[in-house]
Amino acid sequence: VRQQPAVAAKVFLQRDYTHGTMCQFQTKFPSELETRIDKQQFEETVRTLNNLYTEAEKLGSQSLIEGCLACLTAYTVFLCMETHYEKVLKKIAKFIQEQNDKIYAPRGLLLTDPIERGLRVIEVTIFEDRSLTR
Amino acid sequence: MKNCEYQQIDPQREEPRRPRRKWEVFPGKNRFYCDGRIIVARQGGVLPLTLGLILVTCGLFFVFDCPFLVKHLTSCIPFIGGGLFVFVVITLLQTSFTDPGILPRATPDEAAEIEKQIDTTGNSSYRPPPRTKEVVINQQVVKLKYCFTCKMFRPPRTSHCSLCDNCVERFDHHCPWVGNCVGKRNYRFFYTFIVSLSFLTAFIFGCVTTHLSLRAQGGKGLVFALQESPVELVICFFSVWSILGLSGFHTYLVASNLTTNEDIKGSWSGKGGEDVTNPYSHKNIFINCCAVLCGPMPPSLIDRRGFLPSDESVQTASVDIELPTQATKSEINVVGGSSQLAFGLQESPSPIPAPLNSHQTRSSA
Repeated sequence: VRQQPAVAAKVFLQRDYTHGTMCQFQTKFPSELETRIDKQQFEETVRTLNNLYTEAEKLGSQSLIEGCLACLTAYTVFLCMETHYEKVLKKIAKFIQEQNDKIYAPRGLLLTDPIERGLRVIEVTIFEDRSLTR
Repeated sequence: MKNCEYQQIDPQREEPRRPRRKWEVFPGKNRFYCDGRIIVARQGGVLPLTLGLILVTCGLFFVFDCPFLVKHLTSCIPFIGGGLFVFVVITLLQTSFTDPGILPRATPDEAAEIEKQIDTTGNSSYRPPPRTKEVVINQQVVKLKYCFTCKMFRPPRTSHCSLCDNCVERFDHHCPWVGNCVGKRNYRFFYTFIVSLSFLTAFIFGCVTTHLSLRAQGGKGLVFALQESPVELVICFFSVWSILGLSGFHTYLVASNLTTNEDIKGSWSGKGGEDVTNPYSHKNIFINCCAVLCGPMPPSLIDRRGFLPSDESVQTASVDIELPTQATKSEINVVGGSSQLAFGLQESPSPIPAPLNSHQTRSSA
């Protein structure tokens, strides 16, 4: 017997491709969440996530050095080293965990880390109101 | 018949079983080894042939040409050849065994949401006409197609490979020589492989011709010298031109940030008379090369070695997914078997876990 509250609905925030194939999510506020959370707050969360993904995919000097070094070693370094992208993904996971604990769980919402959905969507699960304990 | 199968499977599901990893229920046509660490396409293609050709040519080179050239030219020859050979084999294996950028299929909730958004006619008895969505990328209109297998709109530059039955990001092509798709995650390995292979074949070809000319000068004549190493010469001669050509083509693709798929379809060549440009190009050859070859390494999205949550293993056996998964698992069973589908149909009455376990023990060498 699970003690999880019943799921009322799920909202999916799709990817935003206007700047190319970089991982960015649409910041449009879904109407189903209007009663649950402040629009500013939600857009802030999505914007921070977008910034984190931009940081992960940035073509900066660090990633270039990493790439060239990997090429010289026939990419065997990927077997032993954690890539810059993976480090940022861990940061993202921690950020989502914090946001869920502090902001979304008290409002009966749950953000799913996009990596668990193949970086296609940000899934927001809306739980039923009566399960909120005060 | 269906009732029988259902009853057979149900009791199995309620037994407590060891936690399963996600690769075991992967819906695409791939095979996994080393408990999900290694992924290959179901059809091995001619990867053994590729490896064999490389090994045989290099073997002959080291056995016949090296001793002669070390004596008459320089002793660096085997080291250069050895270094190139190691580089080629490593990059080949990485191209073959890495996840090319497979997109996991949409979860049932996602698929339902997308269906709701598009379809308003409510008629689900036939496949509706292909659905497309238009987005504007860097001032260029791009059409996104709906993938009926993966139940989602494909991101830009993603294509569905029918051989592997997966949507692959930045899909370049399915390479039978390598036995895998070439996509976002393994394109750099593939490029390094063909470039280093060009160097290797050109190097061996050069060494063989030097060897032959030196021997011919030695007095015994060119024809006699040719008889001694025909195999290497033939393989190298044909490989050099084809591999060099392929490397040249892919260098052009890298410099313009194009994929083979886009180039063949002529997506950005402006055939319609409209002004179309490649929206993904950085308009600078150097930046394009850096972006494609030295950019950050994206993670694998399919999480092969993650564990299935216990309730999800029940969900995956829902009615519309069950039959294909059964058939795929039975097919995996018949590694290299002749009549796969017939065998699969025979196998389907048997419970699912047993064949999977036998597959694991057989292939976790």
